[in-house]
Amino acid sequence: MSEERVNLSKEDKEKMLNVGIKTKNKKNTGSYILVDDDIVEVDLNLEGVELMPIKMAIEKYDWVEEYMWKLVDPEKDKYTKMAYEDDEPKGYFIRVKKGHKVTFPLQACFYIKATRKEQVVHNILIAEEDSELHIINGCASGNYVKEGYHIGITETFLKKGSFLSYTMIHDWAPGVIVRPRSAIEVGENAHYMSNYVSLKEVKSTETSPVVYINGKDGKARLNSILFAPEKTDLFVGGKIQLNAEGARGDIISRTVTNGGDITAPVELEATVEEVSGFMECNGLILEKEGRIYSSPSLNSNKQNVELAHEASVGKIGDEEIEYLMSRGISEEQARSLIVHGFLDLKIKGLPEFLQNQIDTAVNQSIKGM
Amino acid sequence: MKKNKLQVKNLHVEIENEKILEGVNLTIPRGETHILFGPNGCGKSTLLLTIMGYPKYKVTKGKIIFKGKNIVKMPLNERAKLGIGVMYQHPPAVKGVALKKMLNIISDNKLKKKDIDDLSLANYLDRDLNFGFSGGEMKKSEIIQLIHQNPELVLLDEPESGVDIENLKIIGNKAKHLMEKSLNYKIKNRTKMGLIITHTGYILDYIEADKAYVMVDGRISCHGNPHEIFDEIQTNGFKGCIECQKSE
Ligand SMILES: Nc1ncnc2c1ncn2[C@@H]1O[C@H](COP(=O)(O)OP(=O)(O)OP(=O)(O)O)[C@@H](O)[C@H]1O
Ligand SMILES: [Mg+2]
Repeated sequence: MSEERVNLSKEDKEKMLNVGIKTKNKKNTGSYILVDDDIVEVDLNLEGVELMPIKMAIEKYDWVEEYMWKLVDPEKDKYTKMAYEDDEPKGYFIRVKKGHKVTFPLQACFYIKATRKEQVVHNILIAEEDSELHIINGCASGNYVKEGYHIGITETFLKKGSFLSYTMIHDWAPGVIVRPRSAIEVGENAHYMSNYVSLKEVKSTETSPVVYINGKDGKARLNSILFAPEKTDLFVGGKIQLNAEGARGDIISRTVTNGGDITAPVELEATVEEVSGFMECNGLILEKEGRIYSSPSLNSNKQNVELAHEASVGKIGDEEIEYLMSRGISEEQARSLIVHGFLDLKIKGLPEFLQNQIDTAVNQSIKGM
Repeated sequence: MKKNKLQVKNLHVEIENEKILEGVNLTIPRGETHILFGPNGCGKSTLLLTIMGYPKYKVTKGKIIFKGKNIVKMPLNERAKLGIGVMYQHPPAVKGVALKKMLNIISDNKLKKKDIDDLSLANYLDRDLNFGFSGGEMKKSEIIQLIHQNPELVLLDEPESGVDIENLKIIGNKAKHLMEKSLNYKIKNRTKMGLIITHTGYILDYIEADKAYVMVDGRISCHGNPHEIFDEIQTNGFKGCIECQKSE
């Protein structure tokens, strides 16, 4: 598992850096890097955390397989089937042990280098009782990749009192098709947060994580920051199912299109009483137009629930642009200031390092707007 | 330096095909501040925003000459760079752009800490520009931006409306400073030009103005000494000014 086996060019490394991944990590971190089908780096220096290829985990612990396909149905679609039938599963196994709180983020990276590559991974994440872990998952490919598939199954389990944040930054190439399929189970008093960031051209992304809050007072929050330039098709949905008393779900999305297509169906579902949730979906359509289809839905057959949503789609107001211009700012800069501010989601509880990674990704994509 | 003045010549302006200004003439020489009175809806803000360069105010006839150039076709941001700045009557809120960021951009990162403190704006710096600001806070946000912009032609649209007495004092003094009207500026050294719209006249207690106009129905109907004109409006309303227009 050395870097020599797979040659990473300067450009490859830069692309990884764009999604927050540094190769040859310093100590005190953990990292997992998969290039096409080759694991080029598994490195762990964090106490209380296990990180290994999923294959190794299956060999090491006989209970790992019980977690696989527990939350995601292999029959769901052709991609899950493909992953299910893969007899040599790639992907990672990450577990933070009971009581361990790790604030420095663990990094995982999936990278596509070869054209016509179908990269299929299955990841299992487990946060044991009262633990804390932050994961940054960068997904990228060489810009030269004309065609490629990334199919990722991720099943995440949060035990009682744990906190897990999962930040995913995507930077695929124009020809790549991305199909993550993930599901999360949140236990009593546990807290799950996902941040999904996709700001670059990609042929098509389709993802729709489902969170099941099965423990009392469990919490989940799904944030997404999406920018769709021309020739980009993003389908980023999400659902939180509130299955236990005191459960709380929040879904926040900020979407900007400049010629691309964004579909964002998000849902809060209450299956028991005494739960609450809120969704906020704001979209902005820039000059090259494109389309935003935002559909927040609330689903409940119970009386005593508190669910609400707020949604908007619009363009940047001339009035705001002109106001900034009248202070000597060019029209271009005024636009980018406003778009930047719109995407600049400050996430409470996220380690500063991760917030900085998100900010950097946003800054970069605005620059190239 | 003689060229350094504002001249509005026979200015006709339409908004959405509706005639708003119909032949406005005025000249503000270097170092002078003028006052613009007039009933609601007569076109005062329209004049300011047209001078600033808002594209929806269509100039159908006439000229705006600033620093020797007809600026009628110049875009907003270039006029700002040339030295024109407005304190708005109704500024929009700009979500996602913090006041501090704005001040840094317009002043090239030279934050004027004293002015910010004098206006008690330190706690507002991280807030989105004008977003959720109260009426008075909005005026403070406007004057602080203008202070950072430091324009040569200062256009104030009702700087005192909605402002409490204490803040009026602070804003009044800041405006005076901005327009080089405080005592430490010798008259001959003044270069700033100003045009101020006011209904209450309170701003006259802070800024010694050189001339006043009354606008009625999109035209300047009379001009004269600011205090005299204000007293006339106080006692007789705008009636006298309308008469004055007829007799001219
Ligand atoms: N965007 C617009 N669309 C249509 N009409 C407008 C627009 N802006 C201004 N007007 C009209 O132009 C006229 C002049 O408006 P303006 O704002 O210049 O008045 P004002 O003299 O500043 O009044 P006030 O003292 O109430 O502020 C008004 O009748 C107003 O309704
Ligand atoms: Mg007005």
